[in-house]
Amino acid sequence: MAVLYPSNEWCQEWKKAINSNEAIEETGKEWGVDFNGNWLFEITPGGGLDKTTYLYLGAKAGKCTDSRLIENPSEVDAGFFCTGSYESFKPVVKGEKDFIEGVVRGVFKLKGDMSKIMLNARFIRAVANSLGAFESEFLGE
Amino acid sequence: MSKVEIIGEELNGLGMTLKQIIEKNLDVTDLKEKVGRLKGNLVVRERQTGISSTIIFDEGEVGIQNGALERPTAFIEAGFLELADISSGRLEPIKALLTGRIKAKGNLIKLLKMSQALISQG
Repeated sequence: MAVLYPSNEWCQEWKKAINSNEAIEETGKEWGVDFNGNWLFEITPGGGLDKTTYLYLGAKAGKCTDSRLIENPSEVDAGFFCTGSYESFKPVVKGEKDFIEGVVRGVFKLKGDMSKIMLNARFIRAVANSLGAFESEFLGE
Repeated sequence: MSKVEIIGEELNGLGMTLKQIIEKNLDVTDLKEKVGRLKGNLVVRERQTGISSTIIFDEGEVGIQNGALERPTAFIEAGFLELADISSGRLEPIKALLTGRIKAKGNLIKLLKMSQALISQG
């Protein structure tokens, strides 16, 4: 059954997908071990989303430790912050577009230690690819 | 932290990534000395997107801008993962060239020197 992106139910499906993915476990062994590897995604309105939505993803040593929507960015401590429009995130969640390509193009603005991103680029790609492991439905469609 | 000057418009994602890595690396004294003597420019093109950035080395000053200069001192083209491997020190630029994982043009001696600014120094 498809789950609505974004929702807490969707966040739990993503967590399950990450934690059952061998490529993520293998490539992410060092992610977040001696630095803050948690992510905060800011999804800006458009394409059916009517208000800015924040999605928190805790990640450490190749595992997802937490995944949920939050009301206020100050609720969490994230080492990496990514912002982009709902319209831009949709094709990534659908598996039609590559997240890293979006970062390179500047479609997604990323803040955090980029040397960690470069060192763990395969992990980042594997986490993004895990979105294809479950079916999502979208606002505005 | 050392500053890399942004030339022109707001940087694309590739440029922002390269800028942050160079700034972090320039804080390493030895590298600062090496880069300090360089004069030239390096175009980096990401293969899948075709997005380019030009890094300008001017005897101690470093700048970065979107797009590719028409006649750069050196040019490299690589996929993001190859750039990531070079930047993180997992892939030596010379090995990447010899194995065809990256394409390069221009002054290869200067390319290898300038690429030191992109390699994480620990």
